[in-house]
Amino acid sequence: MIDKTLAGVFKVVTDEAAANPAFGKRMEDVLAKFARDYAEKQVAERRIGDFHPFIEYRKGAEAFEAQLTKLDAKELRAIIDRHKLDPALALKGKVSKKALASHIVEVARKRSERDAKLFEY
Amino acid sequence: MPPRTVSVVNMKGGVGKSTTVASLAETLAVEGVRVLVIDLDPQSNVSMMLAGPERWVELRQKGKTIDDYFNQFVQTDSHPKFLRDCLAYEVGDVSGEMRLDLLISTPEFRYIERHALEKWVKQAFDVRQIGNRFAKLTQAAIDSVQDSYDLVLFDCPPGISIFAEAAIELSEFIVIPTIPDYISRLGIFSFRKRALRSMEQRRFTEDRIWTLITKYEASNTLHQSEAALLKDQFNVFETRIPQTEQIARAAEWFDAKRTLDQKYGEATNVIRRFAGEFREKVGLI
Ligand SMILES: Nc1ncnc2c1ncn2[C@@H]1O[C@H](COP(=O)(O)OP(=O)(O)OP(=O)(O)O)[C@@H](O)[C@H]1O
Ligand SMILES: [Mg+2]
Repeated sequence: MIDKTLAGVFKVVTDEAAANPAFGKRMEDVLAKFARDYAEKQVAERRIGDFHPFIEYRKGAEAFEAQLTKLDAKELRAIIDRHKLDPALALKGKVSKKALASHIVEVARKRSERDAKLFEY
Repeated sequence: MPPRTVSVVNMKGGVGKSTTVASLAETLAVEGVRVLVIDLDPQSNVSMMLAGPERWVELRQKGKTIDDYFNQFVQTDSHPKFLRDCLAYEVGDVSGEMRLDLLISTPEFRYIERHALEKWVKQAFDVRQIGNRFAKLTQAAIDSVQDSYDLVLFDCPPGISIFAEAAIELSEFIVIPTIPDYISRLGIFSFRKRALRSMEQRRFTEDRIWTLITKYEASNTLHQSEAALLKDQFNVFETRIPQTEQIARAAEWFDAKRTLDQKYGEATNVIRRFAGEFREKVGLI
């Protein structure tokens, strides 16, 4: 049932894309943008690889900060996404590279201090 | 050479302690290691996994349980018993020639701890001394069968009971199964400290305490992240036990013998790899 309905819906879209060049162009643009963003995100994710902010921080706060300055905004975003470092969405919208990096440092510092207390306990 | 003694223990419940004991015991036994499993948990999970419910009922009726064994030390009117007369021999539902024996637990096992407390506290023992006393009694029991086994594995209850403490005190190695998530990792900090103190008192080092990552979901980024953190902070087995349906199903006794591969499915090779690492760490090669 749903498959036939969806096929009907897509047929309306494909017919329109064929008959209406302006519509077809808008579709191309949207898809092209998606592909671009997706590819960039994947590249950033690959580049950060196994970089683990909490582990790196524990090795030394200064070296950690220095490492972060070498990364671009997309890579910093990828770290934040992967480790869910911004659950309250404080970094929504356009935020500077510096702000992203200092957010990561701050979260890693707090986490590390909390863990250290547990070790003392 | 006396058997290696290893406790599988974590204060946190449901992390896969009993599953680890059962699968490790079976895998090693198939490989020719002579294994004795001692169930220290009144939930009796590993007893059910390795003996099956019918044999478990039978053993209970015959008084071949850990409760019966320890009762002789806490109840004055009980008869002396040897460990060898309380064991279930050749347990497990995996096919092949092997030496895999078991001391089952029952829900009544929790009363032993209470009776011991009542009796020995009256005699001015404190809780720690009672723990040590159980550790000595358990060690003596193992000594009485020491030629028959290469490995004694303790399945500990969650929480820290007197018997879990005793198991830690007498074990040469400690395996801490843990799910790689935040709450489970928290539990390890204090618990590991307890284990470490016991090791240090015996002039053992940290390399006798190993964490095993269980119920691992490879595509879960939290699991990936927490596993990396654990590895950074503690001794962790390279092998991670995945969360699979077949491992959960393996908990249920099956009447016909099956091969290890039939029992654990795709996870069998992971379990074998873990067993290999385990042998290396505890020196069973
Ligand atoms: N790797 C796994 N994949 C799927 N299910 C698992 C896995 N390991 C354990 N389980 C299931 O999770 C539950 C808890 O496991 P288990 O009884 O081994 O934990 P436990 O630490 O011994 O628990 P307790 O603290 O109550 O003694 C059981 O239902 C078991 O079958
Ligand atoms: Mg258990």
